[in-house]
Amino acid sequence: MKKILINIAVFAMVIAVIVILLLSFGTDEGAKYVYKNNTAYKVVELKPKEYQCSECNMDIADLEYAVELIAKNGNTYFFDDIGCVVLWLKNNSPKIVKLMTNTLDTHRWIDAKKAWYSRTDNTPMGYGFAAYEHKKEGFIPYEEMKLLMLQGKNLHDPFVKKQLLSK
Amino acid sequence: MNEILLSNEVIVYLLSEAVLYMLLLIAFLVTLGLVRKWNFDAFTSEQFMWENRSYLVVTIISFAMLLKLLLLPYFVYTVDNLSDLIPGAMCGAGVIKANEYGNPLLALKIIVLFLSGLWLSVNSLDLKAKNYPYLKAKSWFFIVIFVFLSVEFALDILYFTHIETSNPVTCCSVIFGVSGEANDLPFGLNTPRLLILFYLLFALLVLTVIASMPLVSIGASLLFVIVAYYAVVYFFGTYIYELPTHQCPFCMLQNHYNYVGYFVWGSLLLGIFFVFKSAVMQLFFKRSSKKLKRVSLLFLTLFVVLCSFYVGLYYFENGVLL
Repeated sequence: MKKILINIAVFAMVIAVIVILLLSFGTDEGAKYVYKNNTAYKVVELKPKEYQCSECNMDIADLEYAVELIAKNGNTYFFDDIGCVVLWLKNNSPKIVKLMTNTLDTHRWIDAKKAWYSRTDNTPMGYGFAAYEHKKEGFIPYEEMKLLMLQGKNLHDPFVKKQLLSK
Repeated sequence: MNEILLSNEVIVYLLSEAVLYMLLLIAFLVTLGLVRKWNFDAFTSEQFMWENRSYLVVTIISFAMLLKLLLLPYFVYTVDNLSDLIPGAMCGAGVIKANEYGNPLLALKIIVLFLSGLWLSVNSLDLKAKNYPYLKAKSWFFIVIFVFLSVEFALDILYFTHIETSNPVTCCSVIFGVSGEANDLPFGLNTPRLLILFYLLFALLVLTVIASMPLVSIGASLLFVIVAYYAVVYFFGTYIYELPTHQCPFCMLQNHYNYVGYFVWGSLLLGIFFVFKSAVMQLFFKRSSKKLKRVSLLFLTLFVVLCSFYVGLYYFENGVLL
């Protein structure tokens, strides 16, 4: 009798463990990196910390610097810093339909390749590149920003930092 | 020379590992001969020589394994101490992640210890019998362990020679903390479900150990190790540190927290090891030991009580939970 009771208890517990695991697998509690089936290719409305950056894994908390990359298959990737986009594209090559960035001056989502980038902003990853819709003195276009990022000439480099911030 | 290699702890650690590896290499070479030439039914002087040598091998391995058991906490202590030398590291978490060899090395050390413990159990059974029934099995087992030991020794050297003192590493609050990466819990779990699983698996382990269900015990203990690791890092640890944002498996090993981490992780690993040992003895050798079961339950209960104690203490002192 005692053995039967133990067997029933063990069976019930194993089932409970499996149910908890299955329930958890089905929820969205885990990290979210990709929004799928965005076949309308529209910018996904973000809430702070809802998604994580595909490159650095950090929560996208500061939406002013957020970037969205919408691929042809409808996958939308999120980034907390434009520098992360450049680094991510070094190792990934999705078919990009849109690369949209939020801007600091107009607070709108615009084509990241048409935005102008400052070099000394306090961005989430500290690279210093922040997107603006309108050009100001010292701002650089996307391609130049990309080149500087790939060369490591951003605020992470102490010499570049000193040079830029002393201006 | 690398500043890390001049640290007292690292010198002692690497030297001890090197000496042990040389001893184990001798045991390995003799074992190779043993598996080829051993014939217990032969009454030749050669067989007599191999029987003598098998004593040597057993002595070397037992000695080395015992020291290896002591070297694991010493390794963790060494890594923790190195955090003073490496910029950015506040505890062992940053030091372990200082290069790509750290985490595999730590995991391998635990696996090697588990396998070594099982080897010692098989050896003890073999020595108790008069005709060495498991000599070939344990010799092959040791050869497999030696492969792991060789990789471990290589990783030891690679790890300590590749830690840069000029490159800043990430501190634990970035690796594990709420300011860093997003929800790190496995299987999409949230904290309440993680805790339910934690206590449920503990109860399941207790029942399966008592009721002698070795296969379920092994499955439950594997899952329990994963769940317990995350429960300690992301829930119980915050009560040890008394800070909801401090989530780290290493800081609790420090003096500031009365070295409680050694007891937490030690009791978990010992508990799981004895569950494994008990299950293996039942499955492969048809031996059930009440003493072994009691020891495994003692360590597992100690682990769960220790973790829960900190939550209770915090609630008792402050009247709220974190």
